[in-house]
Amino acid sequence: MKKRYFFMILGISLLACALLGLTVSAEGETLPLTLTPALPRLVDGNEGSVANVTELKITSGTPMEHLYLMFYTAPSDFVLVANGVEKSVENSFLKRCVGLTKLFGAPLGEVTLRFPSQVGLLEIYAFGENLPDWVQLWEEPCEKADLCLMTTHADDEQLFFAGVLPYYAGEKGYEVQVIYFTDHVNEPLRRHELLNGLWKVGVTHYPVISPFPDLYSESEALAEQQFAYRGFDRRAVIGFQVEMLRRFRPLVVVGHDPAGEYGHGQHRLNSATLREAVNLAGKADQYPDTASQYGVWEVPKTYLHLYEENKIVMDWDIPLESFGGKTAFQVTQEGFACHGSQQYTWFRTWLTGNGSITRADQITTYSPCSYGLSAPLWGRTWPKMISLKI
Amino acid sequence: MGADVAKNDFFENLKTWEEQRLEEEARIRAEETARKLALLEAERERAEKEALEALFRQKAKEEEARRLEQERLSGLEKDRADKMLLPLLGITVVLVAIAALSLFRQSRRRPVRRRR
Repeated sequence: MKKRYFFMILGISLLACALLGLTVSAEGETLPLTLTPALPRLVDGNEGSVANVTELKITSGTPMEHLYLMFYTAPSDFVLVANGVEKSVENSFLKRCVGLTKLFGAPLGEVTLRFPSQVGLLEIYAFGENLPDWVQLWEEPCEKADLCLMTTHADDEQLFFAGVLPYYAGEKGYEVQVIYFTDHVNEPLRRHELLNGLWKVGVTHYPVISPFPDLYSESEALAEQQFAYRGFDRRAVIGFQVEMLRRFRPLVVVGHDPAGEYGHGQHRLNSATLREAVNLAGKADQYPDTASQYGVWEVPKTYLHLYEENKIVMDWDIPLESFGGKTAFQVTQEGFACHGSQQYTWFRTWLTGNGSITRADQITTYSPCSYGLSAPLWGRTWPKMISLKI
Repeated sequence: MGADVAKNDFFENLKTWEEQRLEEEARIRAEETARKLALLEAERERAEKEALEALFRQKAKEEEARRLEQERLSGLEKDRADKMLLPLLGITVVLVAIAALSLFRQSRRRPVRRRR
């Protein structure tokens, strides 16, 4: 008798497990693909391997409803052909998910991908109806931003600005635009790391990356000189930042410590030119091209990390509802973990203490909680803003 | 600045883009409504003014017609009077001429010499 009950319970448990398994696999399962020509690098699940493609036939035994493409260095427009129908797709993202059912009216067993010229691809995934959380569905950069984070390198946004992005983009749902002061031209995979990290911490608007190269220096003057050698003088650098401020019209700008955090010349230069740009963005006679393109913009509040005046200490250790109770700081730690190439650096120890740091207030050097208000406009518009609030 | 620290928020005393957008939309809607109302009011005033002007023009035209009629009638009256005056003048001239002639004749008659 007991044996019978045991087998019954075992049977029910197995059935429940099987059902659960089916449900889980139905939620965003990647479909096995056959590529013609055969390019195993594109389906090996490794974002680090590249294959050059001009045309590719993708076949799946299970009808495909979504196609997810990862471009290596630069995004490209493409054409999808299925059942004799051609559909052009405009694309400006390195990671792009296309709804095949939406595009062709039905799921597809086979689709051909064509590019105008040869492009480097990292991975191709196909999905059924449901997409997993890790698929990045980027939106265009903000039309109008609440907050602009003017970071320098891919990972600074998760280090010295820890907490800002999960709190304002993820939890509060503000329009947050991240702008990178440098581009890792020689390390294209860092662009992917930054996208992965941003997506992880709740940013949905595609970031803007400047054309300035990442170069190490220990002073603002040297950083400026390095840019100048590569054709970007100080005026061009400030012009880029003025353009960003005018384009996104942020209420709040967050920038680097004027001392460059640990002293990196490009951090210093970014901070210095940002303060100049904030002062110039509201003047129509400065950089008239972008003034006529976007209009002028006076930034109400500019916060600089570790700035000594008008100090504010942020609490990034508050649990956030939209991240299942994790704090903004913990979410940022996860965001930094997406920067695989930087895990060997001292930054990892600084941010995580190799597992011993779980709260932002445990970090004492270059505390991610410490900011100061820099923009002079705040003083001028204070009474107006107070009256608006009242 | 104190409020910022207390509230743990870069945005303290600032509005979010969404709030600003909604306010901006409400302001634009209110301005549009006010503009439409002003246009309607202006249109109504213009129509009223035009109606009044038309009325005035009509009255002025009637007045002018009346005046012209009056002038025409008085002209006719004057003509008739003038026409009646001419025979009277003729008769008067004739009578005066007869009287003058008779007086002239009497004055020219020779006195009768008495014979002694």
